[in-house]
Amino acid sequence: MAGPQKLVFCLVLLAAPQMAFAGIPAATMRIEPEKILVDLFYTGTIVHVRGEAPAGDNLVILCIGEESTAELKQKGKVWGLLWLNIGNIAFKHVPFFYQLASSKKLEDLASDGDLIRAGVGFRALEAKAVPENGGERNRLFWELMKLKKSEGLYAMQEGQLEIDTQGPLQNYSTTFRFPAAAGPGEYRIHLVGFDEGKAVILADRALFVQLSGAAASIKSLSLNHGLLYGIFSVAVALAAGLLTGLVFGRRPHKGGH
Amino acid sequence: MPFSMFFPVAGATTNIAIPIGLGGIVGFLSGLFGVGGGFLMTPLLMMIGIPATVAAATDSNQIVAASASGVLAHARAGSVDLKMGILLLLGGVAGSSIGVVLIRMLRSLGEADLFIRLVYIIMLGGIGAYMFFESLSSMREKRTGSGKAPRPSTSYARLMNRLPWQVEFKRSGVTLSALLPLLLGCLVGILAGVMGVGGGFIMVPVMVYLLRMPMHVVVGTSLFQIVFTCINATIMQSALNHTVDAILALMLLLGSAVGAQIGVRVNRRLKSDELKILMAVVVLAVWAKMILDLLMRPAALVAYRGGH
Repeated sequence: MAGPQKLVFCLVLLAAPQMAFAGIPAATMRIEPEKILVDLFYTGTIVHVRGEAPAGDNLVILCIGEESTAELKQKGKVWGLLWLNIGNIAFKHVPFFYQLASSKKLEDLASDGDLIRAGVGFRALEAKAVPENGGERNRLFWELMKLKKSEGLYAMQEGQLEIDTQGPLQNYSTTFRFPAAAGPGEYRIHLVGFDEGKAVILADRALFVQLSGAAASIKSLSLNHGLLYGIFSVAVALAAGLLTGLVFGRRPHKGGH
Repeated sequence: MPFSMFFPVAGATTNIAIPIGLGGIVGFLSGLFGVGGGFLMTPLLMMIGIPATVAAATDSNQIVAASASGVLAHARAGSVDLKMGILLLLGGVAGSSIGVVLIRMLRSLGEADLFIRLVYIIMLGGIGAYMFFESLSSMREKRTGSGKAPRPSTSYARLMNRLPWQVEFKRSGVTLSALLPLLLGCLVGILAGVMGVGGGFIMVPVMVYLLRMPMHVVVGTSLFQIVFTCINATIMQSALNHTVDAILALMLLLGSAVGAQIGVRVNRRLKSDELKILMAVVVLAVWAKMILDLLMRPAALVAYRGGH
């Protein structure tokens, strides 16, 4: 379990008994599907998240992929005229996938500082990302955000979390779009409650995305038997090319000039 | 999305009509001009969401299919000079290895990207412009019926005749030193290694203008050596970088193998000058796109490492 996920797990363990002791109904979370199988006909999927939470809390649902170092090329102007790659940069602790749905706009939930401490919002990601070699963070990190958003991997649905209050509980539901680019791995879904600006993790679930069938076999062959896989790919290409040539073949005529 | 497929190595999904269609277009250019088409296909694949490293490696795989398809068709028409092709290939393999080392040295100095882009612009612009105006002039002379006077012996022609190991290349109808295709193949290989392409769009004008081969034999012979350079590139990329997506390659080559056949048939219907001028137009269009990309602010000021 990565560092941030351990922290969330501890927060859940701390929060749940206290809420039960205080007579506050514990929050629940159901995810559908809990496992996404990626085969050759996968086109991305919609994940439904729903459950119950104590009434009165403002809610945020985070869906976060595994963290890694984002290795990038930086583009800049050379000679004041040409846009070229001018160097390499890297940011540590960048989640591969980050989507959020909230019951209100984030600025209405808590202060920037509280949101950052709770790991909610893109500013929280910016605060956590560490540029390698002490490089420039602010401007270039937001350029990385642009890339991630264009791929559908980062998104914020502020005020899009549906809430239906019934007595001491409120029912919540939302959906997250998982594009095909959201690859295999473990994704954590956190339900965060905000009460007077203070964040508490109310529930936490894991969602698994894994390759299956022919997609898994091909990926495995590519990674573990690269040479054989390459030779096989070439053989298929040669066969297709020569077969097409035979199918289209007819009596040649000399057409040189 | 109906008729969509997930490409497991690329980690992307697209409608299969798109890679089949792209393969068809680039395969057509292969059969028509004798180029691999990598300089077109790789950026097109990136536009549909394929990561750059997978685009470049998988493209090599589909070029094998298109080139093999085109070579067979050209060989049937008697327009593949195997002897010349083998010499160019040997030179090209040596040259591309030198090119890769050169690029590593430039990368360590931090000047690789500027150098590569400048080489691209100079080569594409120079080759495209020369081919365009030379073919236009030739077409005008033929149309006016003025006919070309026999060319006076140039210093290059005299040098060609003086080199040792003169060999007759029957299929091309030329006699020249075996050193020439080896050296020119090596030079093209260096440029191809630096630019990260197969080099067809450089090799074709070299064969036409420096080896004095007829255009229709140039196309078939160029495809012959592209088959081998791309077989090598595909296997190396798969073994070392694991970036060949066999499913994506299959979709591409379904289109490109057929497109190459159509390209060969159109090739046979066109005159040599018409082929050269068409190729010049395509090369100049790619050159103009490169200039625009250099001058326009990119959508994001960062990109994932490993691509172009």
